[in-house]
Amino acid sequence: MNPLLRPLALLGRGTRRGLARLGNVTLFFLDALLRLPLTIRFPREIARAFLQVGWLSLPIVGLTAVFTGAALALQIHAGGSRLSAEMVVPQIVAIGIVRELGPVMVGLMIAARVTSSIAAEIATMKVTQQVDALVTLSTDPMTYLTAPRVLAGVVTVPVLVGVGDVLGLFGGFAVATGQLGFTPESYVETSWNFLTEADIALSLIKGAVFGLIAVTLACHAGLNAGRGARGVGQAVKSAVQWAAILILAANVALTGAFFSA
Amino acid sequence: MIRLDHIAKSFGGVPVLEDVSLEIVSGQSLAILGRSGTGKSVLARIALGLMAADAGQVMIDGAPMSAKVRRGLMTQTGVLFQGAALFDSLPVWENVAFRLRHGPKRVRRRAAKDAALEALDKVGLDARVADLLPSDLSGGMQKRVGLARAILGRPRLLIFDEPNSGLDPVTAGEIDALIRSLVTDLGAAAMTITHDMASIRAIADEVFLLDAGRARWQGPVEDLDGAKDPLLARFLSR
Repeated sequence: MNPLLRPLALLGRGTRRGLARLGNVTLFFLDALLRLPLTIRFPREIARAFLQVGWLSLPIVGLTAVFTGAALALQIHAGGSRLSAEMVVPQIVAIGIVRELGPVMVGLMIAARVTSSIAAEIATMKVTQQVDALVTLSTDPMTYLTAPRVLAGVVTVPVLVGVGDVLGLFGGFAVATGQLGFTPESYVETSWNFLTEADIALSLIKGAVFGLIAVTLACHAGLNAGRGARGVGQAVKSAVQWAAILILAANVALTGAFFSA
Repeated sequence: MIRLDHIAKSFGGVPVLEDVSLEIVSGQSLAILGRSGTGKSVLARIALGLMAADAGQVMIDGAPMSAKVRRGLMTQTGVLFQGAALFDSLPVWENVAFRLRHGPKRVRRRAAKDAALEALDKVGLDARVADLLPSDLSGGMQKRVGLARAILGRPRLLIFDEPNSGLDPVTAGEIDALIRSLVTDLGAAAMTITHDMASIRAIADEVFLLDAGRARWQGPVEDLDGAKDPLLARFLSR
């Protein structure tokens, strides 16, 4: 092959592999969706998944949101002062947190915390033959392992995004009222009046989609893990990096779709 | 009970099994003997329908393997995996009673626990271990729990993948004796994958020697000492 064409060939191979993986994950997700009604047979697995994905993620989501809101308020104030527009801090923090930073930060935190732990857990089950054991015990791994987690991702991540939005707004409020000279009443009133129902709906929809991406990729990587410790490591790495990329890509697509409509 | 006809399997173009045929009938205990990497575990996975063969056919009670046949097979099969493959997050009794609690025919918690305690008793484990997690147990005890899980529900087919690997000789001997008595008691067809000759003599009626993915020798365990096969002789000399 012409050496000049090699980078193109590499790019083509990478694109083909990426698309094949995307197709594979989509089929996997549809398979998991079909099993959702059957997962009712495993209430304890559902409860465990809700705990793992939702409840135990609250501290990291809350802290991340507070700090992000606080930093955003400082940035907007500093940037706005160049245009004598310091007073837009409540509006920009509100729209920035609710439409973008809240869902994206929560999505990335979920990719880091939940995707990695689910991928590692299921991949370890795969390499230690626990997944085979499930099959030999007349239990379908997709129904027992994947469907409860997908359900938990779709239901709990929007809730986490809602909590993240509130705490992010609180972070901005705390800095604005404690350091930037805003009064609490006017800050809250301005923020609240500026937000629309569409902003909140978009935020929660993004949460559901990001939860779906993070959990589906984790289960897919875990159930398709290679052998040994290396297989587990690669499954986790691959799940987390693809979850982060797809969450950011889905964020662009959803924002574009919502506000161009 | 189970018949494998002309099974072939390769990975990445490298053949692992070539034209392997064997049959196990109810009440018979067959040991698959072979060096590491000769395809013993792959053969067991194909027999269980966990992996598809590239060529050949698996017949269960005269019917070719299909999704439906496999589902039926799983309800009457017990498997002891090499590392026991216990579920880390569940206590011992729930591991043992997993099929009763989550399988197609569900049993109430109390009845499932009673059945699990009975199975644990059969493999020589005290009821006190029932509420422990698998990580609290030694390797030998984990194997016993795996064995209890395999025999619960009186399966018609039992598959043991290297039941003694990683165990001291005394515990290995106890596990062998347990397997033999359970197979006899249940009247099940049993397939044991191993490269331990002492274990084979204790467990098996019939021996199947696999070498480089091909059947090399097959015969009753009583014929082992008279066999002329050089590889078998090397196993026997260990």
